[in-house]
Amino acid sequence: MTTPTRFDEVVAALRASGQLAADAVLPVQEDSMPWPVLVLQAVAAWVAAALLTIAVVVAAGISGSNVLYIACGVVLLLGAGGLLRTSKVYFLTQIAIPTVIAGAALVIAGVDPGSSTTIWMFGFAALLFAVFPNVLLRFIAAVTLLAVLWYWLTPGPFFAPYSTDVPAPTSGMAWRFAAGAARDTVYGLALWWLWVRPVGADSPWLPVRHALLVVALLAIGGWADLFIGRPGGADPYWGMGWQQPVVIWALRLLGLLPLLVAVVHDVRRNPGLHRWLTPLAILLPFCALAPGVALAGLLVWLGLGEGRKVLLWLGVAAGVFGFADFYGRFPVPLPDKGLLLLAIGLLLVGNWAWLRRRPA
Amino acid sequence: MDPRAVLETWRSQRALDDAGYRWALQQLGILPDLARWRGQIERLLLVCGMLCVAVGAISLLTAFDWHAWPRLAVLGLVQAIWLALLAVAWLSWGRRPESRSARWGLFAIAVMAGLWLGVVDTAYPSGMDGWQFLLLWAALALPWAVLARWMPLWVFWGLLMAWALKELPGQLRMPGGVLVEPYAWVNLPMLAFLLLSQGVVEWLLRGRQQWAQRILPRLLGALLAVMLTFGLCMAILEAPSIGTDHFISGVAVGVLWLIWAAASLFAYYRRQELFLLALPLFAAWAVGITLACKAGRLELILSLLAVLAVFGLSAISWWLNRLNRRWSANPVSTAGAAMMTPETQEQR
Repeated sequence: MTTPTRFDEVVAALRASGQLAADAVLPVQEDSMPWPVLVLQAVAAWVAAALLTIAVVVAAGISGSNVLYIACGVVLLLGAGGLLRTSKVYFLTQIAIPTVIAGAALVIAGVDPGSSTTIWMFGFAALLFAVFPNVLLRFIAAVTLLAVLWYWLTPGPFFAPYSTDVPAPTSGMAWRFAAGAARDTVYGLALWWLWVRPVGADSPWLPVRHALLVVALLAIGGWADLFIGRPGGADPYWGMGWQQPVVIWALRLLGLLPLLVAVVHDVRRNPGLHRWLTPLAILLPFCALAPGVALAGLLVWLGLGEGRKVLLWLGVAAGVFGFADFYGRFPVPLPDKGLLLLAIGLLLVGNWAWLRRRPA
Repeated sequence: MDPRAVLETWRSQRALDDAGYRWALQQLGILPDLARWRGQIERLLLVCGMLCVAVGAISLLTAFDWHAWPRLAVLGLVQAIWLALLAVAWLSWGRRPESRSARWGLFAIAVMAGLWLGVVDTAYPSGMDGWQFLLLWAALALPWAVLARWMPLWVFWGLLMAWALKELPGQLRMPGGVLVEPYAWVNLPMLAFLLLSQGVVEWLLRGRQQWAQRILPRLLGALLAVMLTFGLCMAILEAPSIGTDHFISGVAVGVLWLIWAAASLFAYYRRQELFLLALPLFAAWAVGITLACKAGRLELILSLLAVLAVFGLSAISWWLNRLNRRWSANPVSTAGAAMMTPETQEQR
């Protein structure tokens, strides 16, 4: 096993071998305050910004004019945007970020786009991401962009239990479900791609990879409904005849693609790793049946392969929630489920014992 | 700065090539080699297997018709599990006192005591209230916590106590105010218990400066800050409309808040602990803003309130930054601070 070496020794070896440029210097940390204090300051700054915004909204709302909303929004956008681009003080940037967002929201409220609200949100998020290099603002903009895309590619009936204003189910909807599953696969592949690559502290990809993680954790697990059905809700597959199970299984296998790509990537990077992988195939049916568990598997694998504890523990948490959700909904009597799970557990423990006795 | 972040920055600036980047991560033990991969896969199999066995067993036990069994047989089964756990912990303790397996064994015994109590109460209903059940469980778990002298078990015991106090009958609680349902949020005995726990934990952990060792007091401090400040703000907002009983509990929350804020400011300024010092400052800011809300009609004073909020916050941030710079230059000395914990004794 590799023995951890001191960082300065590794850097010296890299310089000596010519792999590290001679003029590379250690990045300077901008703020050395403990992170919990920074979080506290940020929360308080957001509360103060909310008060500021409410004061502006109340003032604008007295006239009831949409033009005034737009004007106030533009003023907030320009003022806070200018502060964000020029100030280096942490507290001021933290006040500026929610104020910029509030300005954009006021403009959208003033325009009153009705059903096109998500297009405006998407446009503003893209604009804020492009114009302001602040990591937190870019993260929020990226979450908005990804969430709006998720919303657009999620068929209306998915929201049926939460809204009465959704179209009636038709067989054509199956293609929209397929598009949604394909989007989740693309999100999963992007998650893998961004987390196995080095991303610098000032790179625009840094907030995108965190945003992808958040959106994936919040959104992809919900697709368990797609496959298993929501208790008391409508069956998402209707009128497809014999093609229905084919489509369902194709979508389930598509959801496994990011995890398989991640595993193949690590097997190619670590020759000999494939010898230990066979017992893990027992877990694949869980990943195929529950998309939330497949995402958890991807995060756990990335956490192990990239040495990132945050991903590992988020994956464990997602796995516990995803599995609990799946297990509760799985339409099999409880004693049968218990017996099946007990057998799988014993099989896994048996494989663990077998692997421990196998020579290296 | 985190070594991975430095390497990532160099890599993204193209100052470091890909092979060098991966080699450095492996040398630093961040990326796993083949041996570590094997260990990780083994652990993954074991953990998933044990979880499946546990969930499967619980499902079978839940689906089982326990009422068909005689009451004494059910009690005997639970008692047998408890005794088996006791035997495991006893043997582990005998082999190596205060080892991890022995402590986890004691932890399981303390948890199992509650399950045993629940089974007894189901078999022979006593009419206990929830808080009485939890207090009795905490009393049964206490000897094992004292024996183990181990932070996770004390945390579990503290949570049991806090939960029991939260379930105390409603007349001891504060009105929740406009944001939450009445009698549901602020609980004076629980707040007092948490305040006492914070003091005891700080006394036990005196001299400890490492981040991981300070998680518990920080969590307790944050919890107290949120609960006390929220309670006090609610009491201030509700002040004209609440009756005499609630006025007394409102004053009690105010007194507890003052004790917490003053003690935190004094102790953490001396300790140079920025986060726990920042908590009462931001709490005071929140209380100040709430008091200002009472100065007139909200829509008229909103702009003034916003300006006050921004200026108050600026002052706090400025002072914290200044303290941080000063303390970074002259950190407090913790040499010689002693603490009789099991870890310290093991080191000795």
